Amino acid sequence: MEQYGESESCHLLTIAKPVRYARKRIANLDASSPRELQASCCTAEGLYFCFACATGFHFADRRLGSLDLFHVFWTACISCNESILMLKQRRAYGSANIEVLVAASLLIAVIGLLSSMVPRLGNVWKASRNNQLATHELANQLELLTAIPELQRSQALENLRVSPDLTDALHNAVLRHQLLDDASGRRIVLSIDWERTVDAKPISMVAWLPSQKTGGELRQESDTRGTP
Amino acid sequence: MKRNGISLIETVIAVSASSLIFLLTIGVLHQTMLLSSKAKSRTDFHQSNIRLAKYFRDDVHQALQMKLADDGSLELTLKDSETVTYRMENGVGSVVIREVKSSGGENREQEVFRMLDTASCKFEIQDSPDRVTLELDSEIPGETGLARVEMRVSATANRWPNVTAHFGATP
Repeated sequence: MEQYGESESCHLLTIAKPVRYARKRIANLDASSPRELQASCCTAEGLYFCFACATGFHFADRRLGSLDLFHVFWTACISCNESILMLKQRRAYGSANIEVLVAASLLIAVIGLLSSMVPRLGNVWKASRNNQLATHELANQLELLTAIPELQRSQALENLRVSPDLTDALHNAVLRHQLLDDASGRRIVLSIDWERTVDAKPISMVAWLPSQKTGGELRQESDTRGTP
Repeated sequence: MKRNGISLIETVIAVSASSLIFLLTIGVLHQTMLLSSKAKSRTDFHQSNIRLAKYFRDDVHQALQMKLADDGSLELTLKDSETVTYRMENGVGSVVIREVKSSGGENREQEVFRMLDTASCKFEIQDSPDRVTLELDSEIPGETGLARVEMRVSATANRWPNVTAHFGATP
């Protein structure tokens, strides 16, 4: 019986299958089976066997709707007038236009998102490069300020300005300094700020100076903070 | 009347839509791979810059003498006549090479810093106080001939003559 691969829910067999097998199958059906029957894998219109009268009916094309891979049909046996519900397998080759359109829409949406990401990525790289340039500039300035004598340092602090090479990258960059002398030591706090597309805190760096009282050895420590 | 098969217009629409999707997919893939490559190259360059700046500062701080060679390379003389040379090489990719040689001319260390293909490197020695500036430039994408500053590091020579003795050799 299983040689035809029939499932137990399939109560109707096409004439393409051996008639002997079909009659045997119909004869074995339970009397309490529902009057409305289902058949799967019906491939074409033609003569089908009705197990109620075991004589056969003609499958008429009365389509009720579609379920996933099946079209649902209703027909009646021409002998016993039994109503029969049938599922005819849909022959779905390729993809429907609507599926292609949905795929195209999704792809266009993804491309749109990616396209908007590219300039943002560029801006992130630019901001990162500018931050690095600003940090190095602070380190360079502090390096010079802590290496020169005290008198020259005061003059240098008065004339503090960003290196001309960086004016293109850091628009309207401004250097600010603060000389502090407290319990933490004598130090210069240098900060740099420039025009950015987003609000961000200036970058600061600290350099310790030799104590004027002790004239101790020069010590420098630096710290960056306020990076956006 | 029951119609079997598909009409010509449906075929044309399906083929057009499929072609469009195929082209868009190829475009997206190409763009993604390009961006990925750029991001990786950029990240490598960024990391190299940080390493180079650290080595450069440390070396210059210990340098007793500095000299610019004709080929644009920088030679620093440290104590015990040890020399550190920085030079740029443009081969398959641009790299900055740092070489440490002992007083006898024997190679002791070599570090390679990978740069962007369009990067260029120049050194400048200044006095009062003695210091050297390393500037890395790269060509602006899409604008041939125009360069932008990628990194500018300035360090004072012989900055901490006693610090190395206290803390040991620089990395």
